[in-house]
Amino acid sequence: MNKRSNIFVSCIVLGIISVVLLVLSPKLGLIRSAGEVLLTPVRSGGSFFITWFSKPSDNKRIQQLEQENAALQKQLVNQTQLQNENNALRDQFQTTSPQPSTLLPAQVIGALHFIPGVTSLESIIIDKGKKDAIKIGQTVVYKNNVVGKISTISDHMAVVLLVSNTSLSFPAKTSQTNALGILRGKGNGEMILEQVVLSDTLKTTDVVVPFLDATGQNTSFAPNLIVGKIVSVDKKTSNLFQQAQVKSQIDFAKLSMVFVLVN
Amino acid sequence: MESISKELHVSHSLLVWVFFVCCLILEGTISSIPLVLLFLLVLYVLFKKSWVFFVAFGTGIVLDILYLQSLGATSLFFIFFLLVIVLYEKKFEITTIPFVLYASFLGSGLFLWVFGYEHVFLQALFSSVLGVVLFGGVRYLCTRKLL
Repeated sequence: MNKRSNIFVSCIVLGIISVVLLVLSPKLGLIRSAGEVLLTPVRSGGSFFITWFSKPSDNKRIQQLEQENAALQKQLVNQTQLQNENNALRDQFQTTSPQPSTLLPAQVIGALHFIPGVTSLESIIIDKGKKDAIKIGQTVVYKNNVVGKISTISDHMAVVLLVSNTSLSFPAKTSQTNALGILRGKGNGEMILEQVVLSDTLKTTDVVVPFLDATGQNTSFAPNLIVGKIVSVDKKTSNLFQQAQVKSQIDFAKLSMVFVLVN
Repeated sequence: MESISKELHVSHSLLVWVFFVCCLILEGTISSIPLVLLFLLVLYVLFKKSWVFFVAFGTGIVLDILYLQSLGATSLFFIFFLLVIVLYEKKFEITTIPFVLYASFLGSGLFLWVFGYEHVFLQALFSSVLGVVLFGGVRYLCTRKLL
């Protein structure tokens, strides 16, 4: 009976301490920061495990081709943008360029609940937080590709929801045909561009970019960012809208450094 | 059941604690399976001591820091779960495989649902099997020196 009463007392005391911690959690930044600094080697170990076991490209030639493809996609988007601007100027319509954004480099130090080959990568952890002027909702990019958005931050770290995460959606359009839709993550590294009207044209291999309104101000995206490429189109005349499967150009599992758009 | 806890002593096996730390690191970095919850269940079921609650509290804080969650959330869940096990101790025989199987399944399922994970049923099912394996393994490791 004495042992049982000890257990109940321990349980109640620790339960009360947990509730107090939970209530005061927003004010316990110092404890959390100290803990994060102490546990950084643990998180780095997990990240090392992930990159070590991620399947590398079989061939250097394939890697080279992937890089060239990504560079060509970037050039294509820039060229299309220039062409559109040229047409607008020719019609005596002025466009304004968005302000250049400030990029803050950040190391990828972990990935929550990701086992290569077993589970899909839905979020990553970077080594920048509140102390580096990071805010929730800011976009994270890599080489002109959208990686995701910041969803949770602490003093020294932040969780980035990848663009394929089911919690993420934003307006997007295709680069060549200007078909407008909503890009939504489906999980497992896949995305879908949905709610595209039937009158718009969706083409496979077309590049999907975030939609910016006429003033160039839409959430936290900058111009000429690439979300991914269309791999298949689902268009049925009996439906109200058409949709397309979109795949990102980058392998998120291999990312070791990303950049945060802080403006 | 008192006889089982008298035979076992967790200090007999350093391997158990090494295993526990590995589970903590795995759950905090790559695994979504609630390995620490399963281990705490096994520790209480075998030893029935109050220190298990302190271990639950400490590991809960560590996991909250690794997950960037509010401090105390995981600790509160662990303590609540163990309290339910304590309450059931009087009604049921808890140091058995069927109890560990059901408790692992229900505890993992509730943990995964509360903290917003996906594929709750499948992961809970896998956790229940893992819980039984952990139960057998920890019991073996803690009794082998007495054989």
